[in-house]
Amino acid sequence: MNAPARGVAPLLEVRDLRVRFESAGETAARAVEGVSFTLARGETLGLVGESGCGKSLTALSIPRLVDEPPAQTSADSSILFRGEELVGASQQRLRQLRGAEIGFVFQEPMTSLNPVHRVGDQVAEALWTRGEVSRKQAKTIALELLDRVEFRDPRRAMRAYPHELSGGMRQRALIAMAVACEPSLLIADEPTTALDVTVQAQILELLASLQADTGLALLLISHDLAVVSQVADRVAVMYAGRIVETGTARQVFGSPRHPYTEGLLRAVPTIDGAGGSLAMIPGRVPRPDAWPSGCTFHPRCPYAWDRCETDEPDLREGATSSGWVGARCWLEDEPAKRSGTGYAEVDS
Amino acid sequence: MAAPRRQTRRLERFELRGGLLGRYAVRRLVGSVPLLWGIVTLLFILLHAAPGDPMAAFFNPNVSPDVLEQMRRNFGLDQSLLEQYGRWLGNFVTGDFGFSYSRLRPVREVLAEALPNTLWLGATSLVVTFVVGCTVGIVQAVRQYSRLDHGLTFAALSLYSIPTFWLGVVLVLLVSSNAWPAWLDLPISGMQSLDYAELGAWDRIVDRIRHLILPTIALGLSSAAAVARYMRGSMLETIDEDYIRTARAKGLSERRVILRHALANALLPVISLVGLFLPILFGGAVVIEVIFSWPGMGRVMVDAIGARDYPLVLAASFLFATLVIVANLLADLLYAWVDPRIRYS
Amino acid sequence: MNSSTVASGDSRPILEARHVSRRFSGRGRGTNSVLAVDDVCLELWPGKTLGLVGESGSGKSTLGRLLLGLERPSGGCVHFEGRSLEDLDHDGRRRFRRTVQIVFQDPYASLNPRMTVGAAIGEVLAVHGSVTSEAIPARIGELLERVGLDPSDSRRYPHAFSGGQRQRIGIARALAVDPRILIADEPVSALDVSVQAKIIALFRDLQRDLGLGYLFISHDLAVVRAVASDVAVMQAGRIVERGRTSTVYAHPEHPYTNSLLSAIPRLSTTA
Ligand SMILES: Nc1ncnc2c1ncn2[C@@H]1O[C@H](COP(=O)(O)OP(=O)(O)OP(=O)(O)O)[C@@H](O)[C@H]1O
Ligand SMILES: Nc1ncnc2c1ncn2[C@@H]1O[C@H](COP(=O)(O)OP(=O)(O)OP(=O)(O)O)[C@@H](O)[C@H]1O
Ligand SMILES: [Mg+2]
Ligand SMILES: [Mg+2]
Repeated sequence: MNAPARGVAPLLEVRDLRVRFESAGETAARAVEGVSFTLARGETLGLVGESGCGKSLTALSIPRLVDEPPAQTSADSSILFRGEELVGASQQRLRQLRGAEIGFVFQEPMTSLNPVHRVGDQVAEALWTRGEVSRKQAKTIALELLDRVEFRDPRRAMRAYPHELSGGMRQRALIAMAVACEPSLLIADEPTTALDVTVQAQILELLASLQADTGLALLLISHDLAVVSQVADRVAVMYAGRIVETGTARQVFGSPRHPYTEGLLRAVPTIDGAGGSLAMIPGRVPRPDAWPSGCTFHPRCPYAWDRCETDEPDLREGATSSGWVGARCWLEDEPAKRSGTGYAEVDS
Repeated sequence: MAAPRRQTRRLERFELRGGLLGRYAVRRLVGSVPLLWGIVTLLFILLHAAPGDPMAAFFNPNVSPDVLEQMRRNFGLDQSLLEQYGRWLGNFVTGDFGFSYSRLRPVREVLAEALPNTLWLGATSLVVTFVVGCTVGIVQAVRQYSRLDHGLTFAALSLYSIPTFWLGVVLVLLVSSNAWPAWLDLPISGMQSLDYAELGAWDRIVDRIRHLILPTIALGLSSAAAVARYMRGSMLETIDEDYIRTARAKGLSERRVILRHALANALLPVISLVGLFLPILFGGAVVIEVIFSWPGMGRVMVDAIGARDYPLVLAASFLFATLVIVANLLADLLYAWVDPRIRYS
Repeated sequence: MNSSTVASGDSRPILEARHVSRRFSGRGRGTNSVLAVDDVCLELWPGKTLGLVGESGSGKSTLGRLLLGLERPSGGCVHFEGRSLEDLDHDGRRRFRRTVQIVFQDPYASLNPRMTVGAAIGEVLAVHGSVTSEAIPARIGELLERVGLDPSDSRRYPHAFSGGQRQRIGIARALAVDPRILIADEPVSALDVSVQAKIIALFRDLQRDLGLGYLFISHDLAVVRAVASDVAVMQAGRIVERGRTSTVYAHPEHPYTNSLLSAIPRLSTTA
């Protein structure tokens, strides 16, 4: 995917990322298949898609945190951070970047904190181990950070062990940890799953203020389309290891081009629709060792026709009147095929 | 390998209830009193049921049967078993362990001499077992599937299958053989050299340590091999945990990731092994003390059994059992200290 | 106490919290103890769903653990079929464990990394003896299918699953013993809308077919609306508001409920 012309080189450029799992006697699972995107300073890219479609793997690949083996990254994949190639970079270089330049909020708040160390020590650690501040200063900063992520009693949180915190508290501690060194890129994998809406709003606000103050770039993975629609500048929709649609948040959510995106949006439950109905995309995400032929989405697509079963469409992007958009779908060629009733509704 | 580790996770949910650590410890010790009583009672019965006569050592044409009878009466051996048991237990609980038939000294004196020696040997072996075992295990886990890992695995499995007594004898033979370099000469018997009394303070310490080396190796090495296997597995499992990835994502050095973040967690299931290894260690000590002429509880025990010296055997067994219980308690307290999820209330 | 549920068929709730509280003592100097759950009463009925929403750290998970007997209340008590959990005999405990199940907020921590998913579910099936050993593999496949996973996934280990997939494994395992009450702690928080819709539909089907009752803990108000007839709102350990979901959502009385409802992010297509 080519970046929309922005004048300056993007902060992050992922090109043709491929990650597969190979185990003896089984077909290789091609969990991430040619993902490309860019992210500029201060920008927010939302990454959405169904469970198991490769979002976390894509995210973990950036700071090279995917365990290899069992995973294998294709040698042609390229991850450029400030123009520097990260695929195959030395461990030492990666260590310098991790934490300091690239912050990561992991998807599993319950198990991502070390059970035998105090939360405060874990938040402060990344700060003082770099030798820029003393341990004592690091603790002070950590306390401030915990306060900023809405802990009612940050002093208690500092001394607490992870099991003494609630799920949402652990998640916030992880966020504090990830932004501690003021990274220029924050990768947040479902950062608000354990938070109630009021705290979620405050955390999103905090991230926005960091973006305004420090030009933080944010890769936000979330299944909460409402959150993404409010926070993201651009959105990439993933399905079966591939990006199937990209565009600005307004385009993707306002006028989805890919039937998959359409299905996702139709399934969003609302609180005001009395009774309400949920549309479901039939079937499920195929396993990465058994992607269907042709367009990987065709078995679940309400519009699919024979061409979809045999030929795989490309993600063709380009400038349109409403900006830079693209969808990996044959409907792009034959819009007239988008007919019929689309997704069936289920009663609630 | 998985079992104990899962347990620690579940303990979070089954948080032990009770009070403070001290109260917990006292409760555990008090709770083990019936166990200790059961052990000595069972032993009492077994010993008396076994063939043999404590006075056999005095069978001698020069000793008249009358004198033997007199001795029997003095030691109370002519009374009924129940009476003997009652009297012995009564004395025992007041701390009077009785009189050793074979050594003709109070049991307490004999044990007071032997216990520290065994504790020395046991403690150094335990430390060596765990320090060496854990270090090897960590190195293996960090270098998984390397040649070093395979080599150490082979060594550990070989050592593990060697019986303690055999290792002891081989070490003695090896060190006393002509091929052994003189500068590496190590004492193979006793706790101190003959000229110990004439040595200066520093030389005394060195002398003691030199005497400790071979018995410690013989006693601890195969346990160390087992600990290494266990540690390797536990470490590998820990390295897969999410929080290790979190530590890496902070950009910490690999050294810090392993030593600060993985080690404490990987150690947890290994700590619970301490309790398991102690009986093995004490069992081994009996043999090793005989081989290396170490004047400890093991030798006292072996001699006493041979001589049917009931009071000594009973008291020594009681002491061994108490040691195991106390050490187990210490291991549990250590565990609680490392794992904040466990609270004794 | 204003009970939020009405008897339907059964004359008494299966699980009932009576004025339960749970205090966690502080750790060392300068730390205060926390009253995580403060005098909470609630009832769980078969065939009914009580939604539990509230602030992060307000004590929802702790309440769930109290109801399951995994944590002992520091005040009040939990009753199972009219008897206090403390007084249950051996058989009662067995029945309790079979009747009440939980989906933990941390699905991964409750899965053994060295056990395949099939083995983990099979273990539960075997322990509860609800199906014959020959039928176990088929039942495992069926359970996985119901939560939107592939039956062949049973051969894989937990680490080979994505976050949302693990969450669904937790659901499959809890459903394995055919419980009558399911305490679900954020069961769909890591799931995208389409899978979420599927799980919600599954929960509803089970309720309709088997009369399953739920305590549905979630911070997602839209999901709670979709599954729960009644809702309780927690803040700082207390239930501050409860009632029919539709009523509470339409006319929130407590200011906290109000702020919750107004903070819901809406899909914005005009950003
Ligand atoms: N170690 C592994 N071995 C085999 N397959 C794996 C492994 N790790 C992940 N996968 C597979 O890769 C696919 C992508 O996983 P990933 O974690 O990226 O999904 P995700 O999009 O983040 O989903 P979710 O929203 O549920 O977190 C999944 O289908 C998963 O089963
Ligand atoms: N084992 C414990 N020791 C000490 N404090 C604890 C313990 N468990 C929970 N707490 C405290 O109890 C309070 C309630 O926690 P709980 O996990 O019940 O919250 P929650 O409502 O589930 O929040 P979330 O929505 O974030 O998961 C928190 O302040 C937490 O720190
Ligand atoms: Mg994920
Ligand atoms: Mg919770």
